[in-house]
Amino acid sequence: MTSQETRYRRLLALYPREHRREYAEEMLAVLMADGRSGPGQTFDLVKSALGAHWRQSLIELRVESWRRAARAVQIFGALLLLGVVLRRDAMSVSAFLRYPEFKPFVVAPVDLARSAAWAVAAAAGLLGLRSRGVRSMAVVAAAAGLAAEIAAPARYYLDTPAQVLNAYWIILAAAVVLTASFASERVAFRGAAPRGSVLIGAAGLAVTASGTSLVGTGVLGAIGERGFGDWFRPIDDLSLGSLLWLLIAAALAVAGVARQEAAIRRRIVACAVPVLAAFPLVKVGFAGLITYNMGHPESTVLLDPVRWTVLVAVPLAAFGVAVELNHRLEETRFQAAQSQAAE
Amino acid sequence: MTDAPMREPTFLVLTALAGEPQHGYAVLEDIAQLTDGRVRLRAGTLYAALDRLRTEGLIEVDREEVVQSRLRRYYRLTAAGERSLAAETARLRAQATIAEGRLRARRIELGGATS
Repeated sequence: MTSQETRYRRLLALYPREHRREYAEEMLAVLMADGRSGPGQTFDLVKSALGAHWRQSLIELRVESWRRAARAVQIFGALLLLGVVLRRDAMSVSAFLRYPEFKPFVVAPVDLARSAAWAVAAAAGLLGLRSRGVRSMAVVAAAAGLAAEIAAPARYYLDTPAQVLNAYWIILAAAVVLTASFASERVAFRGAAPRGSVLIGAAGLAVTASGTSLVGTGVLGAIGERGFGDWFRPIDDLSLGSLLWLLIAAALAVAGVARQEAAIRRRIVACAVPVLAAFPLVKVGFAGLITYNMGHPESTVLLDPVRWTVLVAVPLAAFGVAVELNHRLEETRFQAAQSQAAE
Repeated sequence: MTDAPMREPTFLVLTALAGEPQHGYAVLEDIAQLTDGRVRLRAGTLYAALDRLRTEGLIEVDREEVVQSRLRRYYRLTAAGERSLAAETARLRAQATIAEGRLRARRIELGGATS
């Protein structure tokens, strides 16, 4: 080995291991064939090695950020879905307490199943930091939760397809939580639960409380012009008390997500985008079908393959756009930081 | 949303590979020739560009061979690379046409000779 080759090998050792493994021998051949061997060559190799480290760091940061975001989505999503399921139970209990003669208290097995599934998924997500078995349990629970979320509105699909459409955002949220559970299943995490878990748990409780329309009515009833009874009705629709609880839940959820690091926060938002996209999709794209079915119960129109495809494709596309925008933002910031470092 | 303009080394590497698959040193030589010696890339810059272009799917490995006990890897343009190079070429051509038009107009305004 010549002294020149030894010098180049030392300089190539500055590159990240992955880069060396892929290109070191090839680069050495090029360097040896190139007549230029002065300080310019040294500077170019050092500068490029630093650039390769930057790029490697960005890739690792991206992978790590997605892993951590997946875990947060798994736990936060399960907590919020649990809140949504319990909200329905709270509404049933609330109605039963006030109108026992009209609203008998019945909890369907599928509702019990989804309450249990999301409770287990959230608990396993929070506890399964190092235990693969517990993390696997979270995946199974999320799969059961998704199945129950699909089964619940599917019971009424033939009579009222709108039930499935109205619950579609919940089904999407459950699918996102299941995907996130899969993504975090193989990786052990060190440290405590993700930041903001308490706030998200409180958001879940606020969602549940919105189903009662009872809590806080004393204060709110006193300051408002509405009659005391107005705070309880209509029990199956969105009363003002209910709306306030949902606003509190939304504020807590936003605060919980805001507590994440920026890279993780952006990924959590990207995961929420397909769920949020479901609202305008159903409102705009399926309003005609819902209205027609309401007016024509004798000839209910079901969802055809094209509509099903739209229901699946639009949220997926929305997720793709969110991920791509985030990717471009991070790439731009990376290049700006790299240029600044080079200067 | 439009893609950011390509950096010159990237454009030149893609141009070099548009002709035929080439190995690293041949790419350096080709670029020097394409630019009349104005751009003489070095190994560090070349392999930074090659690595990035491979990651982005614009080029791929065509074949490998060992010459005098050293690895020689040939790279070729992918279909995505071809589209990307075509788009960048069109962008540069459009800008050059604008610049050319304005220069011509300027010469006319100043009463100079036009070619």
